[in-house]
Amino acid sequence: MRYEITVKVNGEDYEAYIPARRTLLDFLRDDLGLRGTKKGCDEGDCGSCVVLLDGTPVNSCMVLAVEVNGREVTTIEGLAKGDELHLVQRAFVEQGAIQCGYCTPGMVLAGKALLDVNPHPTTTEIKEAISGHLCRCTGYGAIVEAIQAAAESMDGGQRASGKTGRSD
Amino acid sequence: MRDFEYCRPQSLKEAVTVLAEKGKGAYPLAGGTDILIELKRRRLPASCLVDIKAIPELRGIEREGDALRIGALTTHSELLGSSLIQETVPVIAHAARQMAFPEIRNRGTIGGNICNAYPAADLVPPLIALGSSVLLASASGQREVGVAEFVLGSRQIAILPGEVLVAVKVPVPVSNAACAYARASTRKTGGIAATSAAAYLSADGGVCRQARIVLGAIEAKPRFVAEAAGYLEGTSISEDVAKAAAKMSVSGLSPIVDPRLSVQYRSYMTELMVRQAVLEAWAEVNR
Ligand SMILES: Cc1cc2nc3c(=O)[nH]c(=O)nc-3n(C[C@H](O)[C@H](O)[C@H](O)COP(=O)(O)OP(=O)(O)OC[C@H]3O[C@@H](n4cnc5c(N)ncnc54)[C@H](O)[C@@H]3O)c2cc1C
Repeated sequence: MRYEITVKVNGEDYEAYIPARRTLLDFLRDDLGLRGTKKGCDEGDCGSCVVLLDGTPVNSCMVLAVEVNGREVTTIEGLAKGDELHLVQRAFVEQGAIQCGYCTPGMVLAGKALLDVNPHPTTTEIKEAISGHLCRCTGYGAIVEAIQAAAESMDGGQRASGKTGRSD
Repeated sequence: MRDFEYCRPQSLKEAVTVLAEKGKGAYPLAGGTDILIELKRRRLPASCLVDIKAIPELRGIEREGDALRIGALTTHSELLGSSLIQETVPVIAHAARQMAFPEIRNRGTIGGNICNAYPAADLVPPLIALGSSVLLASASGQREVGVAEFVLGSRQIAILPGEVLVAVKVPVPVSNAACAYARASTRKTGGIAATSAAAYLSADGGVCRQARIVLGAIEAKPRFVAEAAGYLEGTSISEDVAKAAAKMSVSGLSPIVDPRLSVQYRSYMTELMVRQAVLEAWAEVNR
């Protein structure tokens, strides 16, 4: 069965007519062409498909697109303002926290979501925040450092207010 | 995934009506972190998903007399962030923190964890040890069932067709009682429990009055270990007493097959988890 949905993705409104079984991940990649969100395990285990749903990080493979009707989604494409990278993105570049890049969009979004609610995280808190994200190029050290560096470079004006985990 | 219908009722009444109407192939959808995997693997013959997340009656954490009422839709993130839970039944927050990782905890719910009835479900052993019950609603009325009676086995629950789990009722331990939960996993985060144990203890004058020990993950169904609990009652619990009770807990188990870990290892770890949970609960009682 198909359903009509309206969803705001990276600040833009989209209307779509989609089957109930379409995951948010497939909707973003295949219907909207936003391929920054990666498809890894497709079972909620690897973190490469993580996006922000009303500011909260979720595995987009574990959400149906029909469930986000009327909601707001932020993908990796929505972080930079024009040519200006988000602080977390810039920190990943500067710290060399990227190798193959497959885990990077999810890691960056998890880092951003953490800093939105906790601007001065400890190393343990950073590790906890990215604990649902697998990196197979063994880059965790640099990733933790990048999020730490982003926190240090952040000033009050850059921080948005974030939320944690309510089942819609 | 196979094709299915989707609907999002706005009230409990509307939800139970839809579930009754759609019949056998209709399943409630909460956080989706279990059911979507079942659908992707084509293990569930669902023809309709009834998204229950817009139903206000399924939300909230409230104190009602000597119990807490936790709405079925409460996510694991909400459980571990709730000051009311932290103050009254910290073991639930502790168990929620052991589960998965932030993204899954942001979606997964307490109602889904119980209804999915996976042997490794982390909230189930402490809920049973605390003596919790579930409140269920259907088109024909409401009822209350103990979690211990509700969970029948691996992925089997005593739910009637068309019923929705509305809330979980958790008795708040009195001042001289406490509950602790310990679990072992192959991974520090993100790994499901290979074995787990919850211990509820009450004390009177330095002596254990009442003990309940519940094992999770090791068997298809959470198991009460009455013998070990009886052994603790009437004693002043020491390291040695806890050790002996832990040893008793693992005799006569019928562990489910887990391709990752041997039965021998899991039994050994179960013993350690019981010991840990008992000693932690005892320390808490005597604090
Ligand atoms: C990567 C990953 C890691 C995980 N790690 C853990 C872990 O460490 N520990 C653990 O315990 N679990 C774990 N889980 C499993 C899962 O996240 C939890 O069991 C979660 O609590 C399920 O809740 P949900 O709201 O997502 O359920 P759903 O998937 O929405 O539902 C599960 C089942 O319960 C039924 N249901 C849900 N709510 C109700 C209700 N109110 N009334 C009636 N029926 C209902 C549904 O119809 C379905 O059959 C993990 C899952 C994933 C994907």
